[in-house]
Amino acid sequence: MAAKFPNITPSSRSLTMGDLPSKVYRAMSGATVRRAFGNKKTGYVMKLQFKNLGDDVSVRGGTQKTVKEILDHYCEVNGTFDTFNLGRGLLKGMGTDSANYFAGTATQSPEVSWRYARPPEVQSVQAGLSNVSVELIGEIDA
Amino acid sequence: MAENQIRICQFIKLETSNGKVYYYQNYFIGENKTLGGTPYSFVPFEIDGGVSSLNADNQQVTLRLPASEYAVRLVELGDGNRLSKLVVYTRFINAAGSIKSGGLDEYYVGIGASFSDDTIELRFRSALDGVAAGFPARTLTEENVGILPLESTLSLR
Repeated sequence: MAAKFPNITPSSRSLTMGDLPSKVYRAMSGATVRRAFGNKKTGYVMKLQFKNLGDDVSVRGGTQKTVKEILDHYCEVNGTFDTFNLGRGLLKGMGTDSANYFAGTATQSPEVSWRYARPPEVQSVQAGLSNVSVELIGEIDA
Repeated sequence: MAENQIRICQFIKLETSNGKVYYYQNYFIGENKTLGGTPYSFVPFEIDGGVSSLNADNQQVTLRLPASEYAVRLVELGDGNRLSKLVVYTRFINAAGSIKSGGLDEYYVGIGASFSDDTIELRFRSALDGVAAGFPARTLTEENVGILPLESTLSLR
């Protein structure tokens, strides 16, 4: 398991729950039969937006988290290939009950492996500051 | 409304040419599940192919595995999957995750394997009675027919 995702509190976050892998047989009458192919949910998605991250460490006296931390992490985990752990900090701002639920079932569950769903997207918004969009996917590794 | 929900687990018993037997199942992720007193470990395989036909013989099935290290080893141990034996136990699972009684048991013999960039396919046939005129398959050797011809024009008398 590679390094944990950088501990940066996101500006916005959306978390989509996983689902049982299944297929639907739909008859011409409209009646449906569903077949499950496994007994555990998979395919969790977490979309994170980090606004106004510094492009340089020197921004705000060197205490600012930077775009480079996310890009370094992306390279360290070999892009979308390797899995990594998520810190509790990514759920910061969420109520305790919801945060505990998501942490237990998804973000910190030992059964769910997280990796980048696609490369991070960096959008420059003004000199020295960028918005970074990250999409992560949580799946069950065989 | 349990009738419109299907949960099927396939348990396979794969015996390679050296007599070693592997027990796998494909539904209970990351778990060992016991069937008939034998624990089956989880492997993400899928099986497709015929079950029966009017001719009733030689159904072909394909066992598809990710091209991981253990799958390659299975193919090697089965001598390219030509000398392996496969039993597929198809069982229905209830909503509580228990295995229902009954189900389908099928028996196959290996006929080969193929590789692609991410999967390995092991191919099997269901019976030996489809070999028709080739049965019993015998090899011509000097011991049983004498001096062997240098060309393929043979006549049996």
